[in-house]
Amino acid sequence: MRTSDLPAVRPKYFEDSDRFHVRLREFWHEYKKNRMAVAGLVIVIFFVLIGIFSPWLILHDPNEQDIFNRFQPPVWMEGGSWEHPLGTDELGRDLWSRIIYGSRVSLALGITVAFFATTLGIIMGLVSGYYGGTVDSIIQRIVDILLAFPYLVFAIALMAVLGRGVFNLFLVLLYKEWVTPCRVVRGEVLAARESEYVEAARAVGASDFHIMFKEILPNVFSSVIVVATLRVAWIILMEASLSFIGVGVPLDIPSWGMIIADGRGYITQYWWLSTFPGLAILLTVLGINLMGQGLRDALDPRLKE
Amino acid sequence: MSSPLLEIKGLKKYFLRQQAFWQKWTGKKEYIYAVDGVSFSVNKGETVGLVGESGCGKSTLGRTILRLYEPTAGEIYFDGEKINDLRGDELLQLRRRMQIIFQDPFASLNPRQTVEKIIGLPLKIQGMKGRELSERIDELLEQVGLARVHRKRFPHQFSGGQRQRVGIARALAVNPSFVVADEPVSALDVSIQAQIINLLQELQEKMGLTYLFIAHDLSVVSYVSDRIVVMYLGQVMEMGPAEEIFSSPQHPYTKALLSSIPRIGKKNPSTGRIILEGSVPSPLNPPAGCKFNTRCFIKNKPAACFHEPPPLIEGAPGHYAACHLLG
Amino acid sequence: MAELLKIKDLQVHFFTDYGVVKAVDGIDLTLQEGEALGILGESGCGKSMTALAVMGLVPFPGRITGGEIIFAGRDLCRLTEKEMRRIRGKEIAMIFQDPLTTLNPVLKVGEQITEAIRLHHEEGDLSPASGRRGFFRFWEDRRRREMAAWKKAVEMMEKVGIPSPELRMEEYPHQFSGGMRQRAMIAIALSCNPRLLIADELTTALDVTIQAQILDLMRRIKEDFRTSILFISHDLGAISELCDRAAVMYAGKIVETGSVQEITGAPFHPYTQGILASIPRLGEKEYRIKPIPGNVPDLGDLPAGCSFFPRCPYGQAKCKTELPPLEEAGEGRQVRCFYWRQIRAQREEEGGIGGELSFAGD
Repeated sequence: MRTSDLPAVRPKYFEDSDRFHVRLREFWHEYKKNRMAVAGLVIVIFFVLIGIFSPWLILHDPNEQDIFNRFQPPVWMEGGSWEHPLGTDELGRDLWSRIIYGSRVSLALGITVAFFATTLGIIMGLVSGYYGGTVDSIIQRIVDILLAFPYLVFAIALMAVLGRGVFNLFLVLLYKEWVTPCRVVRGEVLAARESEYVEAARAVGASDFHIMFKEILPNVFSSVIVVATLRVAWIILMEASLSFIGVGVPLDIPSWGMIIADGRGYITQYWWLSTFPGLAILLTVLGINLMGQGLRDALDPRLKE
Repeated sequence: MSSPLLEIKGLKKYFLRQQAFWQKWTGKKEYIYAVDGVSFSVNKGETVGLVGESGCGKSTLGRTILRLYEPTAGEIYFDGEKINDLRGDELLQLRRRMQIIFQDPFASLNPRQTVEKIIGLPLKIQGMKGRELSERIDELLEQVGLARVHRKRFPHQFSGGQRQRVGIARALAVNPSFVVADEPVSALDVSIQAQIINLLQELQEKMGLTYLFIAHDLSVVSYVSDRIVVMYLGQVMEMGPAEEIFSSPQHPYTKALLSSIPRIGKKNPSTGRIILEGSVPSPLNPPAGCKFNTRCFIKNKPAACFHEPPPLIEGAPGHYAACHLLG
Repeated sequence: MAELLKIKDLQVHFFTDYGVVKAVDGIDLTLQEGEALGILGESGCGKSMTALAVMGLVPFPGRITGGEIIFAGRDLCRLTEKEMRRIRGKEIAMIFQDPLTTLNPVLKVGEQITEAIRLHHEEGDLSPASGRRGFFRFWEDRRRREMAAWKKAVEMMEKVGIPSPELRMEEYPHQFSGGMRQRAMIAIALSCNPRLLIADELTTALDVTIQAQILDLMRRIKEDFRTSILFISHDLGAISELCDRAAVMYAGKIVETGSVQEITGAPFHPYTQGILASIPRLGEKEYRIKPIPGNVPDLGDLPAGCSFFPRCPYGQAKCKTELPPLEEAGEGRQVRCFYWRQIRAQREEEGGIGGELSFAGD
């Protein structure tokens, strides 16, 4: 069905829409139509707040051991106490505090890696798509190789060599995470490169830098945002996996993956040890994915003329 | 007659066709013969209309003249200076003097930029800033019939006609002397078309512009042009003064083109009409000899039509046609 | 001639987040059997929506909110989707501007035409049952039907002027040129002998030489098949080539109807005059075009009175507040303007189009 003939109406208050808050309001108008996306946003905000305010939310030092209170069950079960609302693990560490603190590593790592990886991916994608030819071939072959390699195996090997550590984890995740944004950006740039507005900019003598970053980038940005958001969820899962295997963050930093790993030996008797961190991962990833999909719907230019 | 502002000689532009990777090793290359040896000149202050069907290479020609595409062969002279190989600063200087207006006012304006930014870009590139820049933008908006309040708006907040005005303002920002208008009105509604045509003519008078007016709509071209170039499959079929082209077309293609135009309010419109058969052959594989030979309606063509490309012959002063039958 | 299609006070409204958009706002049209009616209008005037309403295909969030569409005695607005499907394609067929989006790129053109034929023909129509008994009867009948449909498809392709149809049947849409695709689409539309053919901006995307071919084809269809045509276009030239009568639409309303000769020769409505005055005339260089000032109004925010008032050279105070009715202005002629009589009188005095009018008093 052709939609060009459909009447396009915009309310009057969108008239001066170069103002940021007006555009934000327009975006929110689209976004809130999707209930699930709003739910996702609430979940994400909830976890981010937990991460920020964790020093005030914890009841114990997450690494504090209390050998006499091992395997204490959650508060609503027999033998539980408000001292340890979610119980304790095999060393008597407070599960509540560990999970709260674990959100810091997961979210911080997820967001920073996604940010740097996306930035790198955007630059590579712009260069690759805009210049084409040999540059494009080289970058895309690198991308192909990275995609063809079994990443988890490679990451385990690399971490084993580099050793545990947050920065090492950051590098190992970054090493591959730029690939997806790069692909997305390149695809969009290939389309935008042929557009008349780019040609118009070239006709007035604009530089390649200007065309790439000022003309094309704003137009591909919305899809990049969506991809980056969804990558955060993926990175959180990757971090949890690596920590679970034991090649992730150092032992003194509690991370969700590591808490699950700690509890896996006792899961038949003390189910809460792995279940609660697992739920935290599940909720966060679900929230981010819902949010990402909401962003996609709200930012998709096809829905907005 | 005044001296030519623009002169092109034997201009060719071939595009290498996208090939599968194995073809790189086999070395077989396919070309799209978009513009295949075109020569003409445009005098100062006149409007030359460039007509032809889609795929005839008229848009490619316009962009090659502007050096948006690198010419494959031939020469382009602008104001007596050869501009084929200009680079860097010299090319930037050229951009000041030649500009382009695009067909699709939806596609040619960046949807994420305000009008102010769009019009300001060429000025900024040429080094204007601050109040001077701001005043110049206002002045330009006024010239094309828009108002100051439009500065902060985005392209999607405008109607098609207004968008085209923004496109015109951008092209005229740097005070060019030569403007390629690539189908500037064909995406617009009839009543708006007339506004834009009148605006273009007004600006031409005021600023002494020279236009290369590319269009497929013959009635529009006949209205604005002093001289007309008819193209088919990358080559010039006929060129001459506008009145002569319309009153006494020489080339069979021009005749067919003219007779295809729907006439308003004419009874029995189909009588005496030449309806060409088939469609334009692919520029990947153009016919040998005269490029029009696959659709030419003339019976009993001489054998030369199929072997030799006909030369452009000056039948009347300034009126050229490329057809073996006219020789 | 009998009335085939009668549209009475049709309204199509779009319910968007930002308010109601009256895309079609009370139009009346009649189409006689075997007649070609042109609907002329600029983008966003509601002409395509009218066509889609007749097909029962108004896209979301639009809805037919009032009026009747009477086609061969039945009100199409009251039919169920199932009944509508039977009419669509078989009795009313529609062809679009862009055949690439309407032809399926992964099916051969021949298959698509054959399918259209088989979908809408009764079993016995295509080939009579073999009358044979026995186990293979079903398959044999089916094969015969397929063969018959294929043959009919070849015939259709021949009729719409596709050269060597047997070969072209085996090709895919992308192997066809623009004009050929348009013909294939017309062949699909005509394959069921529809009584009404709706063409939406059929020739807009085509080159002038191809446009001439397609218009010529449409004219032959009108004469040979006696199909009624609703021809929607913004191109007055194309309409005046093909149609007998024309209706001019502006902002969701009809502003003038009449025979093509009347509309193009002596328009009464200022908008129609304006359109005519904005078209350059071939080879008449002295003739200066006169554009209509301003822009097409926003359908979501129409002025209270005559919607053409802000652009009208003859506008008076009355036009600003009151909506002019569609008045009879002669045999089969209607105009929606308070002052068409004065305009006509002035025209007759001046003998030209679109002169400045001055009113004495009023």
